[in-house]
Amino acid sequence: MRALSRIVSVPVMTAALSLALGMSTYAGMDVSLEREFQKILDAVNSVAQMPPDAETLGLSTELENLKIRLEQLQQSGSEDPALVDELKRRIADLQNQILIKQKMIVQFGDAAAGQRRFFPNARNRVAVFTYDDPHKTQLGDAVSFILSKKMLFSTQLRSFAIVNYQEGTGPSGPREAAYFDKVDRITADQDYMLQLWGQLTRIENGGAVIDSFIQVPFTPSRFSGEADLTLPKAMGGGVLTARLEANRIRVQTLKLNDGDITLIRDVAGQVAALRGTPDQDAQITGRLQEDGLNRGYSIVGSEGSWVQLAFEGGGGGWTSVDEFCVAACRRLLDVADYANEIADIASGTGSASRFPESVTAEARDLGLKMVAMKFLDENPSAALEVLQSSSVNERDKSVLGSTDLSNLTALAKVSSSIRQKQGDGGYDSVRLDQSEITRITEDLARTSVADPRSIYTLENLKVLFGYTGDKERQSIAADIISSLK
Amino acid sequence: MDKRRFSSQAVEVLTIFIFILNWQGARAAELAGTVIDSLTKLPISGAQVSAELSGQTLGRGFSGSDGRFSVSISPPTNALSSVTAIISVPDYDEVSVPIQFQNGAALQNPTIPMALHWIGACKAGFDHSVVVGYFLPPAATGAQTDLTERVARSMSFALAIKLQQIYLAPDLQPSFEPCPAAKPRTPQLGASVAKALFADAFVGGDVAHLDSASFKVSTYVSDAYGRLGPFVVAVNRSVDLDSPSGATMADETHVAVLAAVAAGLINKQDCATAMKVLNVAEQMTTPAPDYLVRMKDYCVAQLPNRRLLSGGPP
Repeated sequence: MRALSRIVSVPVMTAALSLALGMSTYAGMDVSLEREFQKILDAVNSVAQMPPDAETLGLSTELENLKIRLEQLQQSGSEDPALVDELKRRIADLQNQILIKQKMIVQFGDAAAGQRRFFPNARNRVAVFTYDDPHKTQLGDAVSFILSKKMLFSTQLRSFAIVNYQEGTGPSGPREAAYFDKVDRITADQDYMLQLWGQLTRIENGGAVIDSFIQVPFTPSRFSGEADLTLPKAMGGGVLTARLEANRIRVQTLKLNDGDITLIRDVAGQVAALRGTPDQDAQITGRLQEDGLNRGYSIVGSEGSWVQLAFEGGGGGWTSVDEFCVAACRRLLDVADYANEIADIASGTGSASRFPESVTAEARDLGLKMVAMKFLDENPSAALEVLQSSSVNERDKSVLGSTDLSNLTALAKVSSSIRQKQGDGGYDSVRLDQSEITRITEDLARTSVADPRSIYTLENLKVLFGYTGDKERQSIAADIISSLK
Repeated sequence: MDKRRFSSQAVEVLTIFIFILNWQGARAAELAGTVIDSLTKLPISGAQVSAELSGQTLGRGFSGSDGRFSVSISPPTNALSSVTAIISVPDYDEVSVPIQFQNGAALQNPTIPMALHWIGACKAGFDHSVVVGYFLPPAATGAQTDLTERVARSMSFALAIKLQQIYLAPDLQPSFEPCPAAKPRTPQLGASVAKALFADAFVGGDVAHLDSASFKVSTYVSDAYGRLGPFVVAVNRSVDLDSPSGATMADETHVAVLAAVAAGLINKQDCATAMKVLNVAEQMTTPAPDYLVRMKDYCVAQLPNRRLLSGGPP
């Protein structure tokens, strides 16, 4: 078990852009310019793998211009250092731009907080941690390895980076930071958009259970997880708030038998093997993780379910998750598919509310709440419809996340009713039927009893009791709020 | 004989008489009390009692079948002094009790609880602890010497993750402490054991043959505050006793342990946090057991938030 504070050598994070290209075209040129030509060639190849959008076109044009200028410089025989430096700076800048458009991954051997920020320029950064393995099933790294690769290979997001932490998150001893807490520390340190991790439990008859968890840290800079609704002046003009609290949601519980455990270990081995061509029978040209070093690599090509990876220091090959991860392993991939859906929603690109069948009700509920949150401003009725499709029973207040569901539903109901009643009239003159609001307060009151310290539930109750004229309960809510503050 | 001389002689005689009385009273002084088991509260017979003063042994005796002892001693001559009764019984921690004497008479007749050796050894070191005790093996097996450790470890991992999910503060998270020496004679003593160990919960159990190849492990979960009644029994079927790591406990056991942890929070007047723990437990079982419902009802009744419900407090 490694101590959290242990320092390891920081890996070079720059994703490799180089491809094996012949150098004969530029043979004999100045070594420094030769390197710059090689960088441009690598960049051209990387850009060729990108979707043909305006941004890609812009990068291609810029690369072509730089290449022409380099050729002109070489032909003129000028050795003006200022000119060479300027070109180098522009090439480096372009490399960085390409980097952040790519999907990247790094495996990291020690979950030490305090490391420098990985992939600082990537817009969407995800952490996949090794699974806590108190019973020594030896599956912790294999599961996180497979899931991180599946996420990377199938995400629709660009500028996407995954840090795959292998080992180092186990509890260090009694009362020391537990697995979750260590994950939290690292996440806070690195500011990931979401993190995925889990726990392995040995069960009777040689099997094991894989519990996968997701956590989405809501931050104003990404997905705030907070929505406000100012009531019409005729309803008092108070503000209702819904907030998705920081969460630790179980995504899936997967029971494995002995054979499944062996299968998953084998799959991890197969995915780690890089092949010369996208074919199971192709020659193995290298391995991910083979030397245990922390290595960064990028996707530079794809064919069907196969992807081509390139290491930062050169070399690479083809691999696939879907080709090898079948049977029980396939169900595990639902976790990666779900995490990718959540990443899409959190990044603002996705709004689908379909999640894999095998995920838990709480996980589905989290996704639905995030989708509803996006709809709330523009279309509160749609938000309400999404929320009401949650399989979490609105009356069961003991379910994790039910406080958020109740408040978000309250907002969607009120907002939707106001829209309907408003018609073409002024917003501030709308007054909803008090009996409708009373029904909402009853639900929120039950939520408050089940989650007594939820201040925003109490704040909402205070506002709504004010509108229904229930001064006594409004005052009680206010008293509890001040005692909590 | 003149009156004055007679009077002087009378005073001398009276003084000698009083001294003799005092001396005789001191000779007849008794150091008495009752020795009981700290858990069962039952009398302990055969306890050796030694009365000491300033390192000098004044007398010795033994407790009878009713736990009572009485040791004749030469009492201190001081008007007020303290004699130490040292009680020793095999398997129990030795106890020293000061007993005050005034003018040769004992001022106390104490009842002295004796703690078994393992109670001291198993005492929990943390605020919220669950002590896992001895699991009585079936006669023919005897191979489950590490079952206590495995059950404690299994419960720790299964429940820690659930409690961390609800962001239970680290200082409120229970530690699971195996102590195979903890062997209360009956499950009914579980609550007393938990209390004696300063733990929120005590988990004991026994192992029985389910069939020729497998075993069932029964757990008896008690809390120190009596909210689970004397104990909650749960049967864990097909526990793999040959696996070095697998000792998966049934949800019924986990629910009872979580309830005991919540009871510890309730005991500290923290019903808001206890509700969160009870909610976790409630999600693990349908329908919720009576003790869980009772605890939730109790907590709701303590919370000011109940007054937000229509119709006011229940």
